[in-house]
Order: sequence, then structure tokens, then C-alpha cells
Amino acid sequence: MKTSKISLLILLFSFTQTFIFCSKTGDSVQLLKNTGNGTGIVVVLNDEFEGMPIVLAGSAESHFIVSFKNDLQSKSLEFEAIQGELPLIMKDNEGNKWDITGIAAEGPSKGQKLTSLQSYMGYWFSWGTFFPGAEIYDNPDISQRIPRLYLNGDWLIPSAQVLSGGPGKDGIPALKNPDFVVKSEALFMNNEDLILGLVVGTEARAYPHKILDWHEIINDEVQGEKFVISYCPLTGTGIGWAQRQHGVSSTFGVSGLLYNSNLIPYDRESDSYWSQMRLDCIKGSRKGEKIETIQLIETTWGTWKNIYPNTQVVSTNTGYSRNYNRYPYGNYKTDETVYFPVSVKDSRLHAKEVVHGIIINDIAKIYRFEQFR
Amino acid sequence: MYLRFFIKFLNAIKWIILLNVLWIAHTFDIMGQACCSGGVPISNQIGVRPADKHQLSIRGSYDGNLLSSFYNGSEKLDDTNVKRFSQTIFLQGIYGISDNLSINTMIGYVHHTRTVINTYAEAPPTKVSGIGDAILLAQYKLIRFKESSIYLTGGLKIPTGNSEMKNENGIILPADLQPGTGSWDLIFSSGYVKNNFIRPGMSFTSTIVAKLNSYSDRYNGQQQYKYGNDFQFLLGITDSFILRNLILNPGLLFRFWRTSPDKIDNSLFPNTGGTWIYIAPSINVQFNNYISSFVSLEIPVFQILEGTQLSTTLRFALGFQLNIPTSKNKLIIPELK
Repeated sequence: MKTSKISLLILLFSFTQTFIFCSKTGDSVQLLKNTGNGTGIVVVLNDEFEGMPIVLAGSAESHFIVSFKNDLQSKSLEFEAIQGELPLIMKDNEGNKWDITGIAAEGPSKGQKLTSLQSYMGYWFSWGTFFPGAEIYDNPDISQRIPRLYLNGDWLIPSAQVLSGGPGKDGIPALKNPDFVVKSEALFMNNEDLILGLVVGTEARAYPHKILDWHEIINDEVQGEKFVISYCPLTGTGIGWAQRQHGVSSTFGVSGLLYNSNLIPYDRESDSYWSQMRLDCIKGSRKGEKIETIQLIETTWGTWKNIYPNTQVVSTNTGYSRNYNRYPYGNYKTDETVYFPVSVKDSRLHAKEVVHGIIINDIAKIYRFEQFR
Repeated sequence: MYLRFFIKFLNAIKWIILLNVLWIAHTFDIMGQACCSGGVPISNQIGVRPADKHQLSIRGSYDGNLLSSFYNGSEKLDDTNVKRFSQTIFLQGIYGISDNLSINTMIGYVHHTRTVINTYAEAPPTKVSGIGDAILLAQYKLIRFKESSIYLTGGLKIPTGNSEMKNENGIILPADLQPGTGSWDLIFSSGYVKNNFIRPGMSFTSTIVAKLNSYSDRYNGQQQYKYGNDFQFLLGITDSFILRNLILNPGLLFRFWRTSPDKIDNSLFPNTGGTWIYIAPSINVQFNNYISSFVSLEIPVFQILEGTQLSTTLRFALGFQLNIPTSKNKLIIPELK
């Protein structure tokens, strides 16, 4: 009798072990192979969106795509790529050579700048949910376009879709005027590491993803101008704007809230809440105000320091004790899982494919890195 | 001869159990409510021994868990920006149906407080209170000898606690601040008790507890969340002294606790799960045959966490136990864990 009880005990443990080890792995997206040194092939696309001629230049290997209005002095130019001369990326039919920030470095229009489009990189799922039905360049599959919501309540968006990300307001600490180091001192950076690059006048600064993963917002000042560099690790979107918007200057913090799995920053001046990807204020006294973005270039550290040898990069000496060499979200970059519910799921691309989106009139068009190989 | 063979067989079984324990602990690939996760810390309450026949024991206790240590793996980070204090009142009833079988039921009321300190402004702490999940266990004495016994426990954690509480702005709070987990979970436990260990009045206990969690719906079913499975291995020693007309039972417990990472929609949720080792000194005071009281501290002495997490700095508990006779049988006071 007791022997059977003991057998039961053994069976119980065997069952426990069997139950424990059942697991399933999902599909994953391959991370792009970046050369990390800025030697990748540059591809230029002359395109049109919302009736506006535009030009994009990018390199999948060097992980960058930049986009501009093609309306220099109200005329449309024909662009083609320049290889191996970074920061120069394209030339036009009038003999100008243009750099990665859209400035004519050579030619009759030397010194003039193309207007940078409102655009940024991000995971496909986030574009699919913030801009439902967005057109994908060179992709015949069209899904139904849904207009953007502007509600009249406390929130400009459906409040039921505002979720807590977990750590609470300021639980993820934003940085303010962090320390920078020059490239020779940036031993924590690898050539393949992604950065958000900002150029102000002659000064270039790099904001590494590996630091933004832990802080999400950096309030910075360059040559007297104050900026906000925001990065949402869950949507992969890095967007910059001036601290002064519509006459009010404020630093920003991390509210701990998410809308469609995307960062909701708050301004410390009015305690208003903003949607990073929508680029507008969604709650508070500044509700409805639009954010005017600045140009940030997402690329590899190797490419950036090759283009801007005198660049500075945010130091790991942030005042916070973090392991910046560890990505804090596990397999999130490559698996299909989106941690928090989103309002629209668009399966035309893998959820975590990194794409470049441009926004005109609240409508987005998507460009994939495969078009820049 | 048969008895000697049986004892040897029993010793072998004990080793099999121990090896199982170590193997499970080594390769555990599941969920568990880490010490910074949501719900009430019921795992601590499962190791209570079964009651004797027709004996009803009522336990009331307070459990305070201060989480203010920030860890990256096993490295303690110099960061004191976030603190959480979880307080739980437990009410537990244990009744012996027969000599071998007893039932154990428990429910808690939890109060979480989370404080985030930043250099710009001190935000008011987030406070959440509510009834937590309940457990219902059947405990069975598998083998009984004069001075030792082996018992098995099996049961359910029932999602009586709210797992979708909202803050004052109507936003659903994160899982780690919810009073309940929203999931039905299976609980298995096995314990060995040796009385008169080394000397009369001293006892030794060895307990393993496994909690196998299931998925729960969050955000109107848009998210499937599963807390990591939970495994504990406890070794304890308790002694007895008489002081005037009181019986004192000082104890020392070693607790190995492992939880696997939580899952969202079948993917691992980062910065959850880990391994902890605690040392827990305690003292139990028996005032008479009917009433006893206890106090315990739980001190983390080692932890390896998955990713970066807030972890327990100190945990403490105090409570009482009432033993109520329900038959004419002589009252036997159950020993506390």
C-alpha cells in the first residue's frame, strides 16, 4: 500500500517536470547585418507622396534612411546616389552634391538645405497601428486607411488604450544635460551599435540606443539650443524636438504610460502628456498642440563617427547605476510579440521589421531597408 | 527483515526526492511570482503542516515585504529611486478531517505602496489595496512513523483578487501592483518532518513547493499574461524551551526560491524571474493549549535575478494561531513551520 503511495509521489514529480518544460518559441525577424563602418551602398529613391515630390537616401548596410522634400526653390530635382563619399550621399541634375543632413556641400546651390520630412525609424507594428493602412513603398498590398482619432474628452485618444508600462511616472529616469565623451573615450560603443545622431551647426552628437533603452528621454542643450531626444524601446522610434514648442519651453520626463505600446512623455512645465509617435499633446492644458520635430539620423556608431569624426557621444556616466551593455528587453527586437495591446494589427510585414516612415497630413508612407540595398 | 528493507527503500526515496528537487531547481523553465510581482505572497504560507484529526486551527498573520534593492543579475545597483512596500493580512484555516487528511484554506488582503523618487519633484506614491487570491489545499500524511512523517499537499490558487484595478485616472495598474493575478494555479508540496531531531523538543523539516501558474486575460483579453512558475525548497529547524509557563519555539529556516520569467503571449517577459536564497529566523510562543503567536524575519542572503529588478530588502511577519477543539479528542497543538 505504502509502495503505491511512494509511486504516486514519484509520478507527481515526473508530472511536474513534464509540465514545466513545455514551451513554444515564436517566429523571429532577422536583425539586419550592419557593416557598422559607413561603407555600405547608398541607394536614392525619387518618389512622390500626398502630391509632394520627395527624395530618400539610405543604406541598409549602414542602417540609415533620410528623407527630404524635393522642392528646392520650388523646383524638383533628379537625384542619384553617390558611393563611398559619406557624408555626401547624393547628387542632382544641376551638379549639386548633398550630404546626409540635406545640405548642398558642393555645386551651385552650395550651403542650401533640403527640408527634412517629418520622419523616423520604427518597428513596423507601430506604424501599422498609428497609421492604419499606411502605404508601403513598392508593395501592392493596400489595407484600409483609418483616419486619426481626435476625441473631445480629457484625452485626445481613447483613454482605455492608455496603459501603464509598469515602472510608474519617472520610474524610468529621463536624463538632463548628460555628460558626453569623444569617440576615443567611448570604449563602451561598438561599431554596430545604433545611435540617434544630431547635428547643430558644426557640432555633432550621438545618443546611443543602449543608453536610451534605459532612459528613453534625454533633455539636452547644444550651442544654446535646447532639445528633447526621445526613444521608445517598445516601438523602436527615436524622435527629437526642440524643448520650446509653441512658445513654451519645458524639459520632458517619462510618464510611465503607453499608447499603442508607444512612449507617452510628459512636459514638466504643464504636466501635459504627449504621444511620441502621434507627435501631439494628448492630455493636459496643452492638449492638441503639435510637436515640431528636428532632424535626427538613426545609424550605426561606426557610420556616424566615420561621418563626424569629432562627434561626441553620451557617456555612460549618467548618474544612474545601469548595465548599459545589456539590452533590457530580451528577444523583443526579433520576436513577434508586442508586450502591450495595440488598436490595429497589420500583418503585411513582420511586427519587428525596422522601417522608415514619413508623415504628411497625418498620413504615413513606409520605406523598407530592402529598398536600400 | 522486511522492515529494514522498507526503511532502506524509504531512504532511497528521500534521495530521489532530493535529486528531483535539485534537478527541477537547476532546469526550471517556468513562471513564478517573483518577489516583486503582483498578487499576495501566498507561497510563504503553503508550508504549514497539516492539522491532526478533528482539529481546527485559525491563523492570522501580517506580512510586510520591503522591496528597495535594485539588482542586475547578482549585482546590487546603486539606485534607490524606486521603493515598494507590500503588506498583507492573511487569514488561514486548517482542519483535520481524519488522521491523515486535512484541508487548508487561506485568503489575504493586500496593500501595495510604490514610491518613485526623482530629482524634479516627489510624486505621490501609488497605493493599491484589495482582497488577494485565495488558496485551497488538501494535505495528506503519506507516511507516518513515531517521530517522523512525510506529507503531500495539492491544491489550487483561486483568482479571487482583482487583477485589473485602475488608478484614479482610470488606467489599469501594472501587474506587479495588482492584488490578484487573475489566474488559476496549481500548487504541489511535499514535506518531511522529523521530531526529536538531535535532542527531544527539536524538529527538522524539509519542504518543497511548486506552483504551476496558468495564463490570465488582461486588457479585455487582448493580452495573455502568465506569472513564472514558482519553486521553493525549504529546510528548517525548530527547538523548544520552557520559560515560566510559556513554550518558546525558536526556529531557523533556509529558503531556496526560484521563479522562471513571466510570459506574455508565449514570449518571455524580460526582467522577471530569478533565484533567491533567504535565511529566516523566527520565534513561536505558545501561551497555552489554544493560543500561540509568532514573529519571523526573512533576510535575502543571495539572489540572481533575470535582468534588472527591484528585489526584497527585508521581509517580516507576525501572527497568531488559535487551536479550536471540534471533538472530545484531546487537543494536540500543531507545530508551526
